[in-house]
Amino acid sequence: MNKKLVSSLACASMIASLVGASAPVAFAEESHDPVSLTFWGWTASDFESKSIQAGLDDFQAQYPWITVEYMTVPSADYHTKLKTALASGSGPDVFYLDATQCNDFVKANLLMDITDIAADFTVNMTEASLQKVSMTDENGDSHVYGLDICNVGPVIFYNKDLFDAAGVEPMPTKWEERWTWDEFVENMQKLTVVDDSGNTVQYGTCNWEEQYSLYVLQELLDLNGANWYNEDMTAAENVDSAESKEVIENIKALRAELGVAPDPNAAGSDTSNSPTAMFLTGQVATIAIGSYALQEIAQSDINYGVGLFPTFGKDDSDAFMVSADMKCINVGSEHPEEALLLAEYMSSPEFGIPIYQTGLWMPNQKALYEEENIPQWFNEEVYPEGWENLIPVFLNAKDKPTDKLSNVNSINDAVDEEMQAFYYADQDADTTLQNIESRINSILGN
Amino acid sequence: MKSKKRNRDAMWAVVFLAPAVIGLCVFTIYPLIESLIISFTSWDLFTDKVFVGFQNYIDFFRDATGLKVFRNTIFFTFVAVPIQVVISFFLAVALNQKIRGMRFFRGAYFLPSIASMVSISIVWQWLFNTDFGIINYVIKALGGTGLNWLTNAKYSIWTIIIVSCWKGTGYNMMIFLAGLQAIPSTNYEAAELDGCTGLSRLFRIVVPLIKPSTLYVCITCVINSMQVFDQVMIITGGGPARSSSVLVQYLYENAFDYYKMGYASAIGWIMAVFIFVLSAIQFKFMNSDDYSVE
Repeated sequence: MNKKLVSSLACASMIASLVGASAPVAFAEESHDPVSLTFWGWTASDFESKSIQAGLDDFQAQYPWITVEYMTVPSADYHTKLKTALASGSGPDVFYLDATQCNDFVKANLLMDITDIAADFTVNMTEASLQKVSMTDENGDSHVYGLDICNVGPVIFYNKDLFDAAGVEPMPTKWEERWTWDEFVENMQKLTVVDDSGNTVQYGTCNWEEQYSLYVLQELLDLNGANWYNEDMTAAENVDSAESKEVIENIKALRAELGVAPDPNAAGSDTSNSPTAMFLTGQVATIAIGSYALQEIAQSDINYGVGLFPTFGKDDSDAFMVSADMKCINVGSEHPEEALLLAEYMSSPEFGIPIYQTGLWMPNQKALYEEENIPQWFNEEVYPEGWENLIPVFLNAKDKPTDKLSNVNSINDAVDEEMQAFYYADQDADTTLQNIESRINSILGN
Repeated sequence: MKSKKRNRDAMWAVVFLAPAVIGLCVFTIYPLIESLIISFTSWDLFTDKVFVGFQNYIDFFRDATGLKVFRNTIFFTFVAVPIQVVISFFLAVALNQKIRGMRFFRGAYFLPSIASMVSISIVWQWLFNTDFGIINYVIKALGGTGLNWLTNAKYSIWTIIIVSCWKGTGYNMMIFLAGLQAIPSTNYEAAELDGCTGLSRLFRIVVPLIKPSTLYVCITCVINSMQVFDQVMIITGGGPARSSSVLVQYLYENAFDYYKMGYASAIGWIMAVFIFVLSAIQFKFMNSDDYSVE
């Protein structure tokens, strides 16, 4: 009996050692109970969702004991549903979070503080990325609440064929060679085509009246030296400056006076996640939009180029701002270690490079902007001519200031309402800007 | 023996009524009471509720945006309801005749009321499109100038009115049709003998006799109009500049975008009281046992 027992144990240990030798080194010493994680992202384009799923499949192959359920929520309701789910205890383990929501989610104690446990990871983030994912507490200490994978900034995509037909030179991609606003308007007028009946059959540009939470308005204000907030983002001030007024009047004039931009309703579907139908069908020559649009434009038949926003002639050398989502961990996650593994993986070059190659995002890590590493993600079939000039612009970008606001949903809605009154209901610019300042301060409790 | 049977019958009655009553208590009465309690608090879902008394109600009547959306909702109701009532009444009168294709037309007019409001709204959003919409195409073809239906503060609320009337008319038409068909033919014969025909018969005989149907249609239209939401969210988003924003949308934003649960609950109760008052007024002026013809 004893001999049988000993020989059985010997066989079992031989088998175990063979299995252990073939398993990944990390797991040789311990077995892992199966873990199921939930990851939420907003519904974006099909291309983005597929890219993310492919990355998650790779993660699960590397960590076979972890199963990740990927759920998408319509982007218009995403943060509402996310916050409600987290409040009820049924929220995901890891999730996208728009950087503008970080402050409110931190105050509601929904995000895991990963300052120390992710220190090695965050040290290589670009400055804009690090600004995005961190908040400062009342003692002045910085805490990291998410991991970043990408940066998205405002650019202008244009239809090269329409430019050639109108005899307009390609848009500049070097910061020092940007068009002035007047040059931009002049070129858009050349690109606007009106038929004999007086109907505009081709517009020069579109999307300048997009919602405040996105890129266009904030970028133009910064380019013209207009700053709406105090240093710690606790109050609005100088909103009704001459610079602000110039910006919003210029935007409105594109459509209302010059006729080079269409009615936003005519421009098609929601532009916060995909370019407008008019641009994709060649009825608009240019579109001002976040750089994320490149992924979808690259899939279309359009012969496209890229350019930078025009300058107002001010000292705007640091006026390029970026933002995008963070990967955050639910403070109530039952599997915080695995959740951190997933968040780190989804913020790593391994996950990001295949997506950077599609044009959806620009990298978040300084190392990827070094010359020898650029070829890893710079796909020449996607990135148009001149994009290499944008690389240093993205590397040296700053985070959008509104990423540090509180009650950001209320503020965005209030600004959008006043801007719509200006654009579409004949409210004058001075009243609009004064109302904006007053309402933001009311929301911030001032 | 008899009391045993009576008890058994009562027990079975309780058993069959229980699911409905439990459902009513869990999904209607409890939420109503809870929302009333929440309306007297300040609560953001994450921290504890803080009792604030009537402050949320007072704040609403000091909230410029809240009052604006309240005015929009009242305007919408007082325009959309009469339009629906009048059009559906005359449609019912027309389709109460023995005409060829009557069944087809009844079905065609009723169809919008069973379609999903979400899909209808998406389609109408494109119909109202400034450059590509059929409506502006027809206007331009007739020599007019297309309107910026969805991006002009003067017109945006009318897009909601048009869509709501288009969708609701069919159902109201069927209610009126049922009322018309319940009028005994002897009334018509007697009227004809007295020389009362045509429009005179319509307004002196038919209208008084279908007062119960009219009351029902008016009350349900008012309730539905005060609670309009789907088409606003999809077609205009409440814009531009809150020109088409309504109470339920504002309630939703305060609850789920701004996390002001107490304030949102107070808005809900203010709306409920207003609807109750409107319904009571309608009952008082329109509900009568006197169906005598003039």
